[in-house]
Amino acid sequence: MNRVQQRTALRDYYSTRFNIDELKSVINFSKFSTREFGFATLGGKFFRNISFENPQALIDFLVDRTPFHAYIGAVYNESPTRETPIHTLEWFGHELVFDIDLNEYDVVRQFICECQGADQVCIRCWQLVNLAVDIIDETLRLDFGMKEIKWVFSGRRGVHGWVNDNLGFLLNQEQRMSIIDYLSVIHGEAETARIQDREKLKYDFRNRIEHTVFKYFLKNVRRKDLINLGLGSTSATNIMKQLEHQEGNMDDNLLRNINLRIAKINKYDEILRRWVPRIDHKVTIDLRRLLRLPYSIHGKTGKVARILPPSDIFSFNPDEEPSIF
Amino acid sequence: MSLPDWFILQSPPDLDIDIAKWKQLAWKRVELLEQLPQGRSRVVRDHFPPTEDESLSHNYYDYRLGAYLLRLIAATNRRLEAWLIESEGDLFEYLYSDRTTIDQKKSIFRHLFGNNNVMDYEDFKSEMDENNNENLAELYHQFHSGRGRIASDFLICVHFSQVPWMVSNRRGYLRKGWIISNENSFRGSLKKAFEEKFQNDIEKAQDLLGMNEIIDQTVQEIEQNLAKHTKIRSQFSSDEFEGKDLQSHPEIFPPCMIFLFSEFESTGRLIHAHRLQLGFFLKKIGMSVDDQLHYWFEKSVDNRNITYAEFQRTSGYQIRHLYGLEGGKKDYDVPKCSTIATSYFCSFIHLDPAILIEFLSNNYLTNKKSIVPSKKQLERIISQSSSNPTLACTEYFPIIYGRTFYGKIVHPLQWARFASKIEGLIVDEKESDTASKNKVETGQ
Repeated sequence: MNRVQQRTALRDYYSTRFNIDELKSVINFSKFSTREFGFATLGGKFFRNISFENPQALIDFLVDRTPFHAYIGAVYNESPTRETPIHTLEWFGHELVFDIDLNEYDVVRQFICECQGADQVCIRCWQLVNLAVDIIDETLRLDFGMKEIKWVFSGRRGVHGWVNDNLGFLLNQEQRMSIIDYLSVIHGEAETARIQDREKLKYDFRNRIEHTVFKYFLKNVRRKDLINLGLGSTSATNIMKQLEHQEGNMDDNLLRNINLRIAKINKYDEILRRWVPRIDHKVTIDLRRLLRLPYSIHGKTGKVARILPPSDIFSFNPDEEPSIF
Repeated sequence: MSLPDWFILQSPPDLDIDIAKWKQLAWKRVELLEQLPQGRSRVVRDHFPPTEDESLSHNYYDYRLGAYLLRLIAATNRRLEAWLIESEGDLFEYLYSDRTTIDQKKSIFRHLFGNNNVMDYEDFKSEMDENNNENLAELYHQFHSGRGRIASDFLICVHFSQVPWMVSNRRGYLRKGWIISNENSFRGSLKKAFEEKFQNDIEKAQDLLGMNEIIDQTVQEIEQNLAKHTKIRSQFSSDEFEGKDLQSHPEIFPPCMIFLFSEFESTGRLIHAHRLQLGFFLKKIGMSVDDQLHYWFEKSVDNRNITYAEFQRTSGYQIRHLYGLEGGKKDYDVPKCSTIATSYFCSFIHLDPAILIEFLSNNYLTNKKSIVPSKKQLERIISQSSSNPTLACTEYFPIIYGRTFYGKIVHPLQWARFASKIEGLIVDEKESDTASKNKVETGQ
């Protein structure tokens, strides 16, 4: 598609299919006119410090200007404009957001799938995203008592978790950072990252992490992964047979049996290191950050950054998402 | 449940009092706070005896009046504010642990964290429908069967938003947005909450100034006296700080100065404005004019083909000018951060984020140990460096020295003074006097 065709496709999407009501389920609309927006043009220019009187003005802008990327930021005491940029305004609030992107997993993806390079994504490595959503969503609800959590496809290689509770909206940087600390199980994100002492993970959270990671690991494990971890070939073959026999429905006996074999080769931490959630911290703690506007189009892929409903969030396949380009 | 009488963050006292008496009470409070470093138990024993004596409540009211006036004064003077917050925080910590009943402790929890953010353990179980939670039962069992349990300790629940440090470090049991733990484990967070609330109250106190001429005059008078007061000045002043031979201790330099210092050491070059900035700073931390002349002559690559005598005549003029020995003969001060931001060099504003990360991660020199800030800490600082450089600088300080800097760093010498204290490079004048006096008295 050339640029003219892309622009036409964007205009068509924003004028006929972009539904502002769906956005309301993710974003706090109470102070819409003082919310910052940002846009990137087809030519790569980037603009921020933009605000709109009302949602219709935003739609008109999207249809008229057909930006390649649309972003939404924080709410301020006054409307951000070029004359009154955000650093001159008082921050009022921003939804609590978590960014799960496969970029963060590049150092461990080699153990999960055959994808190479930043642009590749497959249903196997997407399981890493699913696992992160699974653990973070449950932890936010059960440990932190949050309720209004929506997961939004980023349009490319990840998802954004939007927490729209009143409390989450007003949390300061230190409070957001504490949530990130609580959810972080590994020190650093690099290849050499070390798993925290599991004894320091308290109660429900430790059980949740261990149980969920092991479940995902076994659902996706291949014989060569077990051998690479250090299991003998016979043992690996037996485990694979048992897993195939149960067709993914693992009973406690099987789990315990496999658990023991993994424990024998002392590779439990290694499995955790490969699978535990890796959150892009900057997105959560930066109170003035712009994030992709839910239901806008990702300019590189042409895919809609749509909400993933809880019913099919774990069967979502980014490769199957249609592109408007 | 009511707050203890000694607790100063209560509703403002009646200000319709005799000014002379009020001044006396403020000084009494200063003296009390000054005694803390010498012996907390003596201060608590002498001023806050553990009795139910009615007459004592009148004393406590006087203490609160004195403390309130100091709060007004701190609102006009940043260095006094820092001293007051730290001293009152320490006193609060001592009195809370030594002179407070369980009911009073619960009141303090509610007062500092907010009434809606604190719940009794039993209330939490019933209101949150957690009667069958096995982990909670285990926590209760562990608490009550613990051998070292103190009788005055109890289980309490605080909303996670009020105790981020405990969330970060996974202290206590986090359930449905509440941290459930024993009272003792909340003490660090409670002291921090006290200090933050106290700081907010100081900021609010500014609104009271300018309303009453007599109060304003009193505040001004005590502020001036306190500014001259040796102990406070030596501990917390910024613009009056003058060090001695601290140029050989780059571990106390603020980030802007350490960057310029390292840059000059490695390249032998700095642009004029940066030379001035570093020169002013080196002067104020105790480098003599002769030492600076030699320093710039030896390190600068521009001086390779000239003699020291020639250097003295040319560039030497600028250096002597810094010391007020040439030209207008003015003794220049180090520019404050807001001036540095626009006319000189601030690492948080003028470095690219990637270079800033590299610099903050690796290039900091400290005597204590190799400090390697975590990625998260750096990200947090970088995210606010351009929009709020003074805050970024203030937040970087505790990462390096492990001590919180109350108030904002608005002057490079604030950093240098506090860092020198922490690194043990400057000694409090009064303490030094006392130490030498003791040596004489004990015949040492």
